[in-house]
Amino acid sequence: MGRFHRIASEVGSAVKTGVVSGVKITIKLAKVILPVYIVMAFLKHTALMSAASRALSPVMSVFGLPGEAAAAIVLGNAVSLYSALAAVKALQMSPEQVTIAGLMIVISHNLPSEYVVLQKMGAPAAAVTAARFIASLVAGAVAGAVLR
Amino acid sequence: MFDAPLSQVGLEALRGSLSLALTILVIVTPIMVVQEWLKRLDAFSRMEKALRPALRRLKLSAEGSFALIVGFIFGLMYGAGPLMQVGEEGKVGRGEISRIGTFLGVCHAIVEDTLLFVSAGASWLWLVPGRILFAGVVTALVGDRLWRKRHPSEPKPPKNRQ
Repeated sequence: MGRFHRIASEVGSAVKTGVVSGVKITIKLAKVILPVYIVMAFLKHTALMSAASRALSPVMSVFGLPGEAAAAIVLGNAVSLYSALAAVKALQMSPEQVTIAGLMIVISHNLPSEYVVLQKMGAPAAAVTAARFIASLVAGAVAGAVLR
Repeated sequence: MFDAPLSQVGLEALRGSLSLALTILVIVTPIMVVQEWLKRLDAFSRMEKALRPALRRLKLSAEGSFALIVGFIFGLMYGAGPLMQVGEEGKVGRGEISRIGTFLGVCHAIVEDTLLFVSAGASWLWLVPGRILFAGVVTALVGDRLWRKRHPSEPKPPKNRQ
């Protein structure tokens, strides 16, 4: 009985701490996601976006992605994975395109803040950051060629 | 200015963004609960022990393996504490840190990142086995060289302990 109580109270405290940090993280992320999603959802229907999309479509077609997906890739690398996720969702791409963009974004994202962690752990941060960005382009081209 | 009725665009923006925030709450919260539970079970040092033979073949020390597992599962941000400890303690050689950093740079937070994009419609086959494969290839190609290129005069890293 004592053992059961100990486990139950440990599970309880894990659930409590976990739920509190889950909610905290979501609130923090929602502050990024809601504005990005809303701006992207409106931009998607503007002449500006279709012009930018047309201009970038030769580049993005290397990955089998529409031109406007460039916005998600740029947001992912410069800002955060979550802002890129918001952009991917708002652009309403096909499942194959979400896979390709998703692969590129999970490989290379949050570059400025993750650079700091890499540097603090003693890794050659600039070289690793360059390597992951290049890796995301190669992975995107491979996935694009396979899934097209 | 818009190529669709404004009310329709606005409604989609509101509905889509709120549902995405809800999705994230539903994904992140259980991950945080499991993570807290695993921490209490000391699961990461156990995992490191179980994987030790395989990781030793990759010339990784115990400290390095622990950092690799934490980063692989938690990510660079949530795992930043233990990862930066590796840098501060100085027990792990620079070449090894470079290889771990290269692998983790490409492949980290495997649970969270994958679930978020799978919930948006992506295929997990590309995001898990595919990503691990890319990380392995990049690490094998350049992991050991990245730090030496920048510090050609530094001595070779000390031999791993154990």
